Amino acid sequence: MKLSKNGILSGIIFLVLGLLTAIGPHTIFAVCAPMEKGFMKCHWTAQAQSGIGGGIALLGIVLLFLSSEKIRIGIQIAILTIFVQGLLITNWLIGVCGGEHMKCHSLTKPALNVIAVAGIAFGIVNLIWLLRRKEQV
Amino acid sequence: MKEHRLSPFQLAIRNLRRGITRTTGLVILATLLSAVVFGGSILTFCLQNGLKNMKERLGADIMVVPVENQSELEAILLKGEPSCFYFKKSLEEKVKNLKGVEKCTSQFFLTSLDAECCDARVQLIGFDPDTDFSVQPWIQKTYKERLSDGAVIIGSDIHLEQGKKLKLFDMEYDVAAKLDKTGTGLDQAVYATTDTIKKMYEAAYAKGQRFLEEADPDFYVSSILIRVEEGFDVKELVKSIRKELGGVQVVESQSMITGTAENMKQVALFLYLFSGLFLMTAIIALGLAFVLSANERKREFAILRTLGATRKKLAGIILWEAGLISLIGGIIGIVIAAMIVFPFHVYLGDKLGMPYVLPPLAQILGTGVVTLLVAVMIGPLAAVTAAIKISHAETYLIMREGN
Repeated sequence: MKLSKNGILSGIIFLVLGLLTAIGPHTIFAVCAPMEKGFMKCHWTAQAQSGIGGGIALLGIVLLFLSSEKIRIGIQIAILTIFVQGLLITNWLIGVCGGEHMKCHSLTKPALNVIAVAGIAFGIVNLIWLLRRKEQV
Repeated sequence: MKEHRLSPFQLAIRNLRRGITRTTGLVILATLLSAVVFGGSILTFCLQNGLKNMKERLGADIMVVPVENQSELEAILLKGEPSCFYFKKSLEEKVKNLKGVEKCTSQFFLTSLDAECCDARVQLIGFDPDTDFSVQPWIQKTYKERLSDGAVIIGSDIHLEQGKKLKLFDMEYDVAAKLDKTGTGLDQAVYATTDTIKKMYEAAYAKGQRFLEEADPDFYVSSILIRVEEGFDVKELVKSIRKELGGVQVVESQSMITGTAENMKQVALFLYLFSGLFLMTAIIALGLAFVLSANERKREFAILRTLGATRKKLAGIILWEAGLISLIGGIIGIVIAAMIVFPFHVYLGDKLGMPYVLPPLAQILGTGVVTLLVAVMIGPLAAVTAAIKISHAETYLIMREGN
């Protein structure tokens, strides 16, 4: 099996970003602890992000072992779509707690946004590069 | 065939693309440099802005609180940590009659419940509209009318889910205005007249919420704010207050501002030192990297020289390479620093525990431009030695080396 340099690089980057998205809201940039009345909405954002991040990490692993550029292009488009979904969940679909100084608002939300924006930016650049390379071939 | 001459700029681009590992290493160094300089500058400006706002915001010269509650007052003012404490309202009358008091007013503090209006507890501050000189001048920047009973004014960090109503203790209050950001803990407070606060207190009492025993707003206050007559010695008045009233803590605004300014200076000094050291390290490292790489590429430059490239052109290639590396690294560094200092500015401010406000857009853009200029200049500056060395090398001797 012939591995491509681009596949390995993009696979590792998406794997790391996916794992950060999945695990981060429960550990390094954790959301608020539950209150007496129960969980706040940031908890549900963290749960949703576990699924989102897990999916991205899995697709990142798949990218590592794929040599076909066409399939890699398809997978990258899927990853980009999932990152956009993540952004929507954090900021609109579920959101985080209202208080600007609450941990989920001041730390988890920007962290998830930065990861998603970085993933989208890298994904777009890499996608353009792959498409241009394909045209040249 | 059409003659095509490569300029030093074109040659520099080709060289950078060919030596991608070397280029990446040098770009990372330039990236770190510009990220540290830009991030450090923005952090320092945020602290300076916060201190300026705090000075403007604290309208009183002296604040009097119960003897054991100075740290709680400072936590409310600096960090927005809500708390409530009380002493007898009759003390206000005693203070009013002291010599040197120009204005005197009191405030009553309550805290909201968890997960009520704003998910986290917020500070509720009641002021007397007839005597207040601390909150109202600041409110009037955004709300010109007199605050009616039943309405509240919210700090800039209070988030309203929908509409213009704020729900506290199961009752809804009209939000008359949202105040401008100050960077202090007061951004997380809700302001109302003492009559509205009484209603909130009664609603909370009916809900079973007990703040402290016997904290009835008719007989108790949380703090007394004093403005000292012009020319009167603040220390003298502090002494009289201590003598006249027992069991109180007298807090001078100036000493609190000075304390915060001292802390801020230490953080800024650390940032300046760190940036300075990093700047020096980057210049030395980049300089060394260019000299070493020029040594390794002596034969390549000698060939260019035999092909007709002038000494000036060789120096130009090295300087262009350095300039491009610095430019790319500078831009990436600014973007990375911006992705940390702007989205996380609330968290950084909270962690520092000091007044913290982002500078205006023009200042941010200006800082970005200056950082980029510094980064772009440093590369060629570090590469000057290498450029001189390579342009003065004797082609014949280089070509014979190793033969």
